[in-house]
Amino acid sequence: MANATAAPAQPDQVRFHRSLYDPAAVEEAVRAFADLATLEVLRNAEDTLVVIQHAHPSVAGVIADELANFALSETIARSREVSR
Amino acid sequence: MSEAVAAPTTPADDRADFDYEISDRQIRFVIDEQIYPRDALFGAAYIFIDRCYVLLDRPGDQRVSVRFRTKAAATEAELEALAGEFANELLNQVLRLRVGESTARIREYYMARAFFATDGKSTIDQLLAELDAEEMAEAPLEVAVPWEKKPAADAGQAATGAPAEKQ
Repeated sequence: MANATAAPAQPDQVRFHRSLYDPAAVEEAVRAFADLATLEVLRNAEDTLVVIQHAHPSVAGVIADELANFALSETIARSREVSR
Repeated sequence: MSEAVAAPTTPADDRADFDYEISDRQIRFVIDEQIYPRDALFGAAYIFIDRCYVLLDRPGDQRVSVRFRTKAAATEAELEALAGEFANELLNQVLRLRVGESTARIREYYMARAFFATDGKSTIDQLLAELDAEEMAEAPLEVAVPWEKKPAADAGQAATGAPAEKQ
């Protein structure tokens, strides 16, 4: 119960493993959320890393999670298009 | 009393467990990709996207970590129920995949038959040919009269008693 009032930890970066998330889908998510924060995309052999800074106060607590959901749904949509 | 009904722990029982970690508003578990293929995982995760924030990660080869964070406050029991629901959905998606794979050739066969296996004209071509034949039978001179002109011509003929001018 004590945790109910605690603010959720806000990660300032989200890591998307390349074998699970289509890098193009992650970039699409970054474009979709670009007006709400400063988003930087870093790439390495395994991951696509999105660094989130200066998020709009109204979305600061959820932008990382929403970005992750967007990237996942976009990845799934793209994988279904490919398999058709 | 609980000891009386507790089943003995064996290695096999350990393997059957669906282990998860619960913390504030979130639950995390690791899926074996050899048992639950990635497409099944995607299918199951997609169903929960409207209720939870879903994040996937790869802690090791052939292993996928799934983290659900609820959008609203949730009790521990609700989080456990969520994990159970997800596990059921995973099984459902695996079954769908396997049925899809095992019936793929049958579907291909029906599609091929529907498109290519007719001897001569297709059903639609036959129907169109029948309609053409009926129209020809009704109009032996085969004079095409635009339908827009026909009511006016009929009305003029009725008013004057004279035959309508030919267009």
